[in-house]
Amino acid sequence: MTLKEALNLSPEEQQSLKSELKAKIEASDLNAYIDSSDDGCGGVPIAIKDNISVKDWDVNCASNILKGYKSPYSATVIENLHRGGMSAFGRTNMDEFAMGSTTETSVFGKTLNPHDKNCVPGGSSGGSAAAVGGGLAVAALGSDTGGSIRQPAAFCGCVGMKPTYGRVSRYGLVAFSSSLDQIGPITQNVEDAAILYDAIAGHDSHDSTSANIEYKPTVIDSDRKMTVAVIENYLEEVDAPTRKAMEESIEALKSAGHTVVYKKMMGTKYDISTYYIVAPAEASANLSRFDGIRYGNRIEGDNLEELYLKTRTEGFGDEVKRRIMLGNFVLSSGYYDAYYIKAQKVRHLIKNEYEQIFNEADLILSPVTPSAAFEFGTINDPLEMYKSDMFTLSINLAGLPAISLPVGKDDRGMPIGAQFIAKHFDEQSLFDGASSLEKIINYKG
Amino acid sequence: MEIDIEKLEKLSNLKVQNKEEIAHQLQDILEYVENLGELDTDAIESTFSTLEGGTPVREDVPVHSGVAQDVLKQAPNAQDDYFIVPNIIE
Amino acid sequence: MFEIVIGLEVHAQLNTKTKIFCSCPTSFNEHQNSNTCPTCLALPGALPVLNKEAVNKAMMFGHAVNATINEKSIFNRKNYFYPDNPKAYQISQFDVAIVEDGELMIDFEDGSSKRVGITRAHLEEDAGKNTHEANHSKVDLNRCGTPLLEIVSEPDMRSAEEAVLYLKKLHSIVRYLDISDANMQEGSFRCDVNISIRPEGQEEFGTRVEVKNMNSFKFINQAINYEVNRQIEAYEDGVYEQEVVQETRLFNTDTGETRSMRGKEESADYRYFPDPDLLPLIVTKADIEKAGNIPELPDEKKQRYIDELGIRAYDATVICADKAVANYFDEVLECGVSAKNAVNYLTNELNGLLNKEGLTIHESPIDAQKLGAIIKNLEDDTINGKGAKKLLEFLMGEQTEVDAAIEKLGLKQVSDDGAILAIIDEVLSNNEDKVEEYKGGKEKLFGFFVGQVMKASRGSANPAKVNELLREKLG
Repeated sequence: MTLKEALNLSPEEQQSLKSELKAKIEASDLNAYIDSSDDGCGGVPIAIKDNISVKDWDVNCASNILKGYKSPYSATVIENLHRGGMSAFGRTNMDEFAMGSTTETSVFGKTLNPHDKNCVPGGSSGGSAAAVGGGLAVAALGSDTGGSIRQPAAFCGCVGMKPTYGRVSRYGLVAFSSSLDQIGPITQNVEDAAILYDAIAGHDSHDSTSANIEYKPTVIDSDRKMTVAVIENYLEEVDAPTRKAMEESIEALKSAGHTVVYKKMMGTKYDISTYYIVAPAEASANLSRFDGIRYGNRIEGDNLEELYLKTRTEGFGDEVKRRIMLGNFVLSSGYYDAYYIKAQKVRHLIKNEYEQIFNEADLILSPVTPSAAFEFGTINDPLEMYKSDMFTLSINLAGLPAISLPVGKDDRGMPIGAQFIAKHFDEQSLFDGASSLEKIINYKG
Repeated sequence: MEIDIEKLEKLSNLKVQNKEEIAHQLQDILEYVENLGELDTDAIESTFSTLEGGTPVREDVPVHSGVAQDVLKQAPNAQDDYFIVPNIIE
Repeated sequence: MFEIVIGLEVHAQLNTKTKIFCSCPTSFNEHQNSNTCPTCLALPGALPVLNKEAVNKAMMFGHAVNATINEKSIFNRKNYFYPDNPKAYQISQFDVAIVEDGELMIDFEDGSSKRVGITRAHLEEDAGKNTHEANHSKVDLNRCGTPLLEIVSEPDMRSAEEAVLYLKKLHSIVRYLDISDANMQEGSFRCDVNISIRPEGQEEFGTRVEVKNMNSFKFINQAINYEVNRQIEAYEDGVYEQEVVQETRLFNTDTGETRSMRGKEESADYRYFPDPDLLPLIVTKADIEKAGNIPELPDEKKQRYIDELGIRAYDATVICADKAVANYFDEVLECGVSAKNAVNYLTNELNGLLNKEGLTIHESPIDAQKLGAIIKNLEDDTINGKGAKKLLEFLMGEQTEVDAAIEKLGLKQVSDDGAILAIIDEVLSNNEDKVEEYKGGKEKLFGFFVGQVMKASRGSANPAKVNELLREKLG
């Protein structure tokens, strides 16, 4: 049942759909869901990542520090869902505070990849992607700061889309890196992604970083012919199966009548460095409010200092602590210019680079990950984990929209994804191109 | 690059159990990110946001949010509608 | 000898209806935590949105102090942990403030003036309130998010007197603009003083000490004097380096001393960076111009009083120092009375009576219209000076209309020539011997006759008329 189909069901049928899903969730061992909370509204059930506020739901960001916190308000996207004939159903698992690429840092335990339970589902929206990829959700919302929608979608064989920064309201999304975060759809196909994206996008006066520009609903034209730029140096940095899948996609695009041009980009190592300075810096300040004083999981102390220390020490996992400290380092006196400001300047270079390419192309095609989903325990070193985000990070730094869709499988049968990147606010081209490729590839899960 | 892990713990208001391991990992990361030094950014301005324009402003009209009671009710330590913390010595 | 160097930081709470980054009502003394929302409670997922009126008031201040209003300024996060700071960062402005490079003039009693520079004024949010009980502290976030304008002066002041004059002028400007209630007791006008000393002739500044927690001009004066003495003594005793360090000290209102704040080893690293939840604060030339429609400021008003109304500089300064007094004065003038009398009756007569009862102009039982009416009656000779004073005293306690009070007290002056002549005739005929002596050369007796006529009329005769007619009669 696709989202499009589900939207055409009667209210009773939609209720039955919820019950069916609930039963499936309970029977599943993927641990994609934390619980099957219901927002009490009618409509098509959409799974919600545990960092998006829904009124009266527990919203924990898969962290010990927020255990017990029930949100007294709903994120703007949830209100938008309601208007679109959908409702929030089920909290999906994630990496703690969206910091991670495998969903292993969740306080609720890891989520399994529906295609191979020994493999990671990706992260940080691993729960949402596993739910959709594993037939446990019609569609889901995730969040993407450095690839957290696109990468798990690629690993789980579904479609994941990150809107242009500013397209979708962040009000109610627990902030990780404020200038990079966006909420986006994770769905079974491109058309569903466009539907869900249309439902949640639009200006919101509660969010000062919400773009106040004209919004037109998406009308997919998969026959439209476009110029697609392929980043050739990236093709050299992926494993053989991924390269094969990428080449096949390129051929598919050519055969469909699109023009393919080849471009080079500066180098993913700079994207990684820039991201891992900017994101932790913003996160370090965003996570300072978690102190157990007004809400959340408080560990008492004999004095104020102890209260803060104990609550935050016991409340946060290691990856979160690492990033907070990293962030504080790059912002601290004496290092701010050399690290934080330098990174924000390189960010400008990255943005310029994309603008140059878009002078000659409508879309960019790039890999999502260096390989398909790997087994749990394969990557233990934080820096190695960060490097695996190499293809998704720069898109957030430049604020561009991107979509990942399954285009092939590796030798183990694990899904491989490819991503399209479009100009600012040109989600239309994104969906047109993705839809075209989807049709030709005709990926079967 | 010498990491003063205790200073970072202090700024972050938290402690890590495996100090040496974490310090080492942070060191690795910081050494890696120094690759940005290979890029010439002298003539470049920082991009703090990918959006153009100024911050939106709102009219000075009061709105009652209605969440206070919910929050106080579920607060870990609230009394008489105050949030309670251990004594602050000033 | 030593030179004292003082710089002042004032946090003025802006009197907008809502907080700076959320639409919660601003409040004073309301039920704890009742004016809060996800944003000022720092709930997960909450975001800030800037209040237009706060920006407007900041620009108005910029105009009032002749400052540059920056078309683009940035909001930064200032990071530190404290329970009254729920996000654990305060949204403020750091490198680029909305207002920069202003000035104001301070006026000394001898009529001279001095320019004091204002380095900058920036917007930021206020913290909540912590109150302390025996074994715990209570946090109230009603105040959290109230807009503040932080005004920083150049270190141009050289004495406690100059510092207080600066603060009073700043206070007055802010009140005239109606951008803040500027009530020191209530905390809407908070002053921190930065004090250092240096041997006369030395160019280098001494070590700067910040003193906080003074909520009246009197305490500020005391604190500065204490601190200056402390620093000078330390210098003279050869222990300057040890005793005078860059730190924040609290003023103790009971002992009149400043003391070091406990446990502040290193200065905090606030890790300022631009707030990514906001975009730059951009104001257009049109916005800036519009904010220039500010009311008449104290210095302008004072000059106008001097130039157009012929009031003495000293009196003009006194009246303009307090906006409420100036407004009162303007209203009295609107009754059509002379500036001279208005000044005298307001600043001497009424002021004296109010001071006796410990009342401010706001609490005056006699409003501007009444005072105007009293003066009008004086000026059109209905009553005389003595009568006016009696009337004033009476109306402090009685809520009667002026005309009715004049009747009741029988203060109507007799100006009718005929009536006065009749009394004069009676007095002269009762004192024929004295008349003889006067005509014989004893000029002094004229005063005696005037006195007798006034007495006979029970003070209600118009003294000028009495003089005039007596002269005529006596020749």
